[in-house]
Amino acid sequence: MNDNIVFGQYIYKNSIIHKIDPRTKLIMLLLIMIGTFLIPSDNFILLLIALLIPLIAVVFSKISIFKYLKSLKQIAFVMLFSFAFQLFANHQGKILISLAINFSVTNIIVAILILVLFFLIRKYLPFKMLIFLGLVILILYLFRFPMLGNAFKMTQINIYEKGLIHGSFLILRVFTIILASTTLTLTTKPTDLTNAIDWFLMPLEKIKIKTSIFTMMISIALRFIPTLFNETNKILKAQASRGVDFNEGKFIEQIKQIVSLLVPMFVISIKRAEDLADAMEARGYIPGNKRTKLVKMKLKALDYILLLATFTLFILLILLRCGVYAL
Amino acid sequence: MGINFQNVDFKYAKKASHKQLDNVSLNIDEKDEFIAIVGHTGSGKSTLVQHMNALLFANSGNITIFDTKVVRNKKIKLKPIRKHVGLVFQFPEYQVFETTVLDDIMFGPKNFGKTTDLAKELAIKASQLVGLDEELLTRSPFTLSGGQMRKVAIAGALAIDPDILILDEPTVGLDPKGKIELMELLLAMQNKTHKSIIIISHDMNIVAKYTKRIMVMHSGKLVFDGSKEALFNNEALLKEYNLDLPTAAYLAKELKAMHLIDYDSLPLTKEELTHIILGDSCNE
Repeated sequence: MNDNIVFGQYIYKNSIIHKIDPRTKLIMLLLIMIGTFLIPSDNFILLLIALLIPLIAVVFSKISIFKYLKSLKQIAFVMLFSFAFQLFANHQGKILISLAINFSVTNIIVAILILVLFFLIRKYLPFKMLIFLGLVILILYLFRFPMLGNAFKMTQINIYEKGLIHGSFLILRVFTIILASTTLTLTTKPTDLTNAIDWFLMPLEKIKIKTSIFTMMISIALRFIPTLFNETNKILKAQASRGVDFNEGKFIEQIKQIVSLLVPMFVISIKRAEDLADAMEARGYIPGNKRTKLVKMKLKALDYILLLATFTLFILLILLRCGVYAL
Repeated sequence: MGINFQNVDFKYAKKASHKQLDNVSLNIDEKDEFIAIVGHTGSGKSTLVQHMNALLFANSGNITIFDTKVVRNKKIKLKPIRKHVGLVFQFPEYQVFETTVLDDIMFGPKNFGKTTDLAKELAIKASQLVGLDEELLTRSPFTLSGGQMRKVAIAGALAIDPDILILDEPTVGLDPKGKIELMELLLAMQNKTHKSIIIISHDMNIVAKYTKRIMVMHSGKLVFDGSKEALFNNEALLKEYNLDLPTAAYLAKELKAMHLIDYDSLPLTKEELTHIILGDSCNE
């Protein structure tokens, strides 16, 4: 019923990236993640090479770039924060910009007014993050001169060369990792992913750990998240028509109203779990027994090429890092 | 008064390719209506009744329920609307949660501001109206059978004392006897209280026997709104929207084609058909 919220971000497209084996994609993601952290933090050329891999995947995946940007949006604040932290806290290298900060009563009042105004109207604004960033820079600029009255305190903010370099490197590094992992989740079905994890855990079976039970549990949980979500929606509606208003009433009443949501939730989930267990048993599922797979994962030529290329790059990076030869 | 829809459009998602409600206009009186909404799965029946209960909001067009305009707006209180129009969902297990049946029926009136004593009185009255055994009232609702649970859900809606009662597929999952019992009960209740009743149903026998007016939904459009006689005599329409005739009407048509009986108006129920076959001489 509710199409707009779908768990997992998988989007079906008939692209070459979708057809790559999930195991290949997982290994590549892992190597890119480790790789980007192994790159010395002023070597932009290597990082750009690392960034190029997910970028190529993005282009070939046939999925709109906005879908990728959406997942970046969620982490944008952390990225900006760590950038700002690097920018102001790193005191190495030459001074690039030196800002005088004058604290005066009028300055502070103006700054607070600007921020309050922003938080009041931000509901109606597009690109909140960018506007907020612009405002912060504006406020910093305002603080350069005492507007009225005397400044009661003066400080200097210095931005150093290394701070700028490290800050932008950090952003680029996080960007690479997020882009790579988003590519994986957008182009791989959750079930394929659990299958891949299942495969990687296979060695554990040798020491008598039944990993297949855990991966079965994971895939069932993933499968039922949208179902439970729909169910919650139905319960919410049923209770709303009985006069439940989750935003109204005293604290005790609100708790009671949440109970009216939780009890049917649990009853339905437990019933569903029992039915599912029966259905699985009826179809011969025995926990931990060997099962054949409907879709056999098989590495193709493309997978071997990709794995070889990524491993080569990775080993080159490690050799470089160990100082075998200099770039 | 009552429910009024004017050119209502609705989509679940902004980018959804087709509308769940497409230019729906209708008017439902607050008294003595007995309406059936029929149509195929996914035709927008449930969506339509959820609009009547202010659970969903139209993208365009006007909905007026008991002189209140229904729009998504914080200033407009939805509770009074839901007090006027009661909705019973298809699956009662989505709403029962209290420890006893009585408490569960009392939950609605209490939410609409009734005191505990008054809510209890209303709940007992409602449970009598739907024919719930008194001994069931102290039991946990989760120990009841499907039919009993549905009665509890209907009683829960009736206890709120709405002016219009809407039931989403009330007879699904009930045995034949339970179906007839439930529908007789609704009919008796209407005769007593003159509340309007709207049901969603696939069962044409029940629709033909108990309701007066029929609305046909087809891919979000309200394609027919009129008396049941007008619908079942309109063969082209029935064929276009894949709707069945009631069994009695189907049988009568076959018999007429074999020149065994003749009638002026198509019989829709078993009783009417018996009357035609046996003539006025039959009083049984």
